Amino acid sequence: MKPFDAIIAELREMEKGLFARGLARELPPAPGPWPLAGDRDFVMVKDTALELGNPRVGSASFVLWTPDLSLVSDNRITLAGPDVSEAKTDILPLGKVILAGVSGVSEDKAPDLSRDLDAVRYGLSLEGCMMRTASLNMREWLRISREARDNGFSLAHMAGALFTGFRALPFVERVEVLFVTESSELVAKLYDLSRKSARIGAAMRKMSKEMALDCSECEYQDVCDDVSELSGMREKLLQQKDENAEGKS
Amino acid sequence: MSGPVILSVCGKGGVGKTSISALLSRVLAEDPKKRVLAIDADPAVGLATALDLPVARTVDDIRNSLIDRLTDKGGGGGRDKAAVLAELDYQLAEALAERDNLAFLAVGRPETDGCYCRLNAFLKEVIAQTAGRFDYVVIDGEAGIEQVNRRVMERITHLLLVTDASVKGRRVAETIEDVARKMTGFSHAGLFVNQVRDQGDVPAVMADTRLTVVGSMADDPVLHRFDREGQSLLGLPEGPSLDALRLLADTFVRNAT
Repeated sequence: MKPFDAIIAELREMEKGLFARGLARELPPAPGPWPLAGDRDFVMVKDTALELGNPRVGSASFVLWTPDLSLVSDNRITLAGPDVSEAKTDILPLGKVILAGVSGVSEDKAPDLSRDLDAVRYGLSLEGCMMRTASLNMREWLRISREARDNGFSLAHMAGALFTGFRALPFVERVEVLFVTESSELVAKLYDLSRKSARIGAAMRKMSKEMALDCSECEYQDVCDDVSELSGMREKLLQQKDENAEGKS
Repeated sequence: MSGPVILSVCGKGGVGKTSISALLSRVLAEDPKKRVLAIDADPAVGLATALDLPVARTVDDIRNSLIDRLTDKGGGGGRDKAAVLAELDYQLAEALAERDNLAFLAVGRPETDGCYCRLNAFLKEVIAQTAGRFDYVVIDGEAGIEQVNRRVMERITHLLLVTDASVKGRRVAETIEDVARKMTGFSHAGLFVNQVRDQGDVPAVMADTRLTVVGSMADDPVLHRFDREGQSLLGLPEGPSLDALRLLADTFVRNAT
């Protein structure tokens, strides 16, 4: 099942353009892990060196997964725009896309997979880096403290923590992260992609929890028409439903 | 200190709870190493004016905006707990107003139960989580005793009951303490006598209440003027009111922890 592959293709096109224009580069991995913050990860405005993805300037944050491992460059960190230490202002937009290459995921497990992947990013808490994720809006807002910046915090540290978290999931084979801090316009383009992925995710969740599976009145009919993989998922769920019914009778 | 001091300011209407909440927040925030969160649990949102901090969104606004969105039509149907908590945490961070080491959150209208109870329970969890990121949390409650039923009150450590010299004021304070004792796990409770106009006021209150009097404040014409003109109490000049609140902060809040 490859529901997000078309979006990954669009993302690659965008990324290619960024490299061609000299806006994107690969970041080397961070020299080591960044300390975790626990529950007290709140960074107040007065202690903030840099805000990324403040609602005023925009953000887009989402996860795309695929069983086609060739579509994910394992451990690669791409950044378009300034890193924490390079920022010339105290506020920047933020785009963050995590690509996960997965294996052993059947159609009926797809909604669980998305949920487990999202849970990793919601649970991330790094010292001096307040992270808030709007799961419904696909937004993300970071505040980096002066102390963290002065101690060398980089987006590569965040990527490293994400790699660790994602790899802890048994079905994740490869992980890659793309950050965009260059401009609100670029982040807005990513946001358009995030909305597409959100609609696919919502359609999968609805399919998995609904027993009727009647497409005629479903608000996600257009999504399933676009993403043929979802029809496969629906067929599988219908088949399971029939099998369950037969088992009971 | 293992967790934050969560202090609720309660009492009958008109005894000056909001002014005391604002001044207490101010004096606690005088230590730049400490983080203070002031929560306005009064739907009238008077504490925002007293602290001169904007109310962009209230907790009630957040709840209302999510009720429709956590449906299939809103695109959020079937979201698991982690996703909803993350969303609430984001929106709560957006609703916080900050000045230096003082942050402010307005609750807005009381929660509605019924079909939104799951969302209300999550909100309670996120507010508690947010409170845990501060050293001091000062909650300005509504008048009367209704507020002690509210979820935001469930984790208070300190109950500051405010009264004037009236019998009614201290009876309401005693009733609140009774109800709160059954419903919350506070470890410290004290009575603060406000708007003292006569030397005999405080001894008279002390003689006629089972509550421990932890401080008092004289009727302050400068404070009245600030209140009347809607001026921020962050700008209140040095004087007896601030002295009284500093003493209260030392004896009831800091030393009692």
